[in-house]
Amino acid sequence: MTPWPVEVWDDGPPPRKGVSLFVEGTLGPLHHKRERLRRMAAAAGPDTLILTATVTELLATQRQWVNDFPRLLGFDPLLVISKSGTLGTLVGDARFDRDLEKTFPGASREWVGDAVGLVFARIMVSIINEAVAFSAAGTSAEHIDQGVMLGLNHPRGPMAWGDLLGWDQVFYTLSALSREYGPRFLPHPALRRQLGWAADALGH
Amino acid sequence: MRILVMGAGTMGRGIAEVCLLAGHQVFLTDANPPMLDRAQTLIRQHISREIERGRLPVDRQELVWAQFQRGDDWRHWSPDWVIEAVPEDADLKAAIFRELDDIFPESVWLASNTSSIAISRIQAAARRYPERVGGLHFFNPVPRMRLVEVILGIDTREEYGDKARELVNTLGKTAIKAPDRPGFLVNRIARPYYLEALRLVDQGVVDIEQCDRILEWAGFPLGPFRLMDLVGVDVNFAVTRSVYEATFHDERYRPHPLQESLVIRGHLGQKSGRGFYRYDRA
Repeated sequence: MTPWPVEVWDDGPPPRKGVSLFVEGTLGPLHHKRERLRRMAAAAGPDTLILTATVTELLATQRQWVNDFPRLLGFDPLLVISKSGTLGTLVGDARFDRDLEKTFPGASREWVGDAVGLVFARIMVSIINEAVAFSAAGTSAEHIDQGVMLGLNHPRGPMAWGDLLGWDQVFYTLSALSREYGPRFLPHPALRRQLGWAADALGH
Repeated sequence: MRILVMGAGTMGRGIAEVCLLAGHQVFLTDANPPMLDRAQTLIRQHISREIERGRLPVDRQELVWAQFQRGDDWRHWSPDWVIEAVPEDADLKAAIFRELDDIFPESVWLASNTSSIAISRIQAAARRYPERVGGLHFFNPVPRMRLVEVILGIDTREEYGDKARELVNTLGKTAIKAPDRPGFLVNRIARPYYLEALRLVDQGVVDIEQCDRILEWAGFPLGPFRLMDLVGVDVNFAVTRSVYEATFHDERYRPHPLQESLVIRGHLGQKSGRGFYRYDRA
């Protein structure tokens, strides 16, 4: 997706100088995300852009975490996972669009409003949550996916989407959405049972 | 098999057509005779098209038509299956199933093609043999969509599931067993695709075209708004409303005022020339 060298940085020492773009893809737990973002902002140069996942927290809030770091943009990593060659939905100052085009030439993108869950993640995890309710009530994952693919022409079934995006990521996203918009997004109890520790890390 | 199809609207007509093409004997009936005329004309056209495309041998055409009957004297016919496909009106369906149960012997399987009314509720109208009543939910357009949901009500015999699967297999379609919950499986899981999209637009996060583009990037053949326009904003609104009512107002399924406004204005999607988008009807 990008012709530039890529380095993966997790919890080790900061990367060498001259990084033009940091990508922070953590959805949860949020205290981990906040720490990572702060370390990135501290390591950033004057021209560095930071692209941060804004599925589980508003960009506005994340900006406060890093003392109003001006070159902070939001994105939806679940959409990027779903479709290679796309930067997907972006939030923030669209004047940086040219910088992103330089880094990811030709990658399709859409600038949208700042909202927890953004667009794709919010719709997708809601569908997955419905499917989990059927699974918990005894319908097999195979039948659920077959029904949705044949009946709705979805590109993959909701249980396969859950496998692709990661069930912990689905859980973090639903939890953030329920915090923001109310109980219609509450993760199904079966999802919490399946995840165990990951759910506990969120204080559920 | 001998199949009585009740209701000659879009769904009943489609069900009759696929049953005929699968070699079954079909009796199609409707309380409204002009609907039957129209259904017969359309089924004839579709079968002719199948022949033109080489999917059906020319000499089969007459054989297929020899298997077809229509009219209002269905009460004297002896079907193996009855598939009801009348409008989504619980009282109307109850009256039909009460009569079907009174007329036909226990060996006749009775199925409703309802998309949202609980099978257990329909079943309650069958006073003699409720255990032979279940759901066979086809999808629109019936000839093209491969899925059929098989739904067992509270009292439905397990054998109904096996018999229904056998029938569906003869039609070249795939049966999945869906629980008797409002919207069954597919329509229930589909709700957030439309409702969250409507809420996102309402909250100003995206506009309609952006939302469609984003979902289409992810591989969905049509974004939520283009899809609602295709299936009919009124149809989509009615299903949502039905699921919302049947779940005792679970807020996940709360219909959106934007949809209702379009329906009230008659902007029903492609079929009316305008829905969320405008269509050139020239």
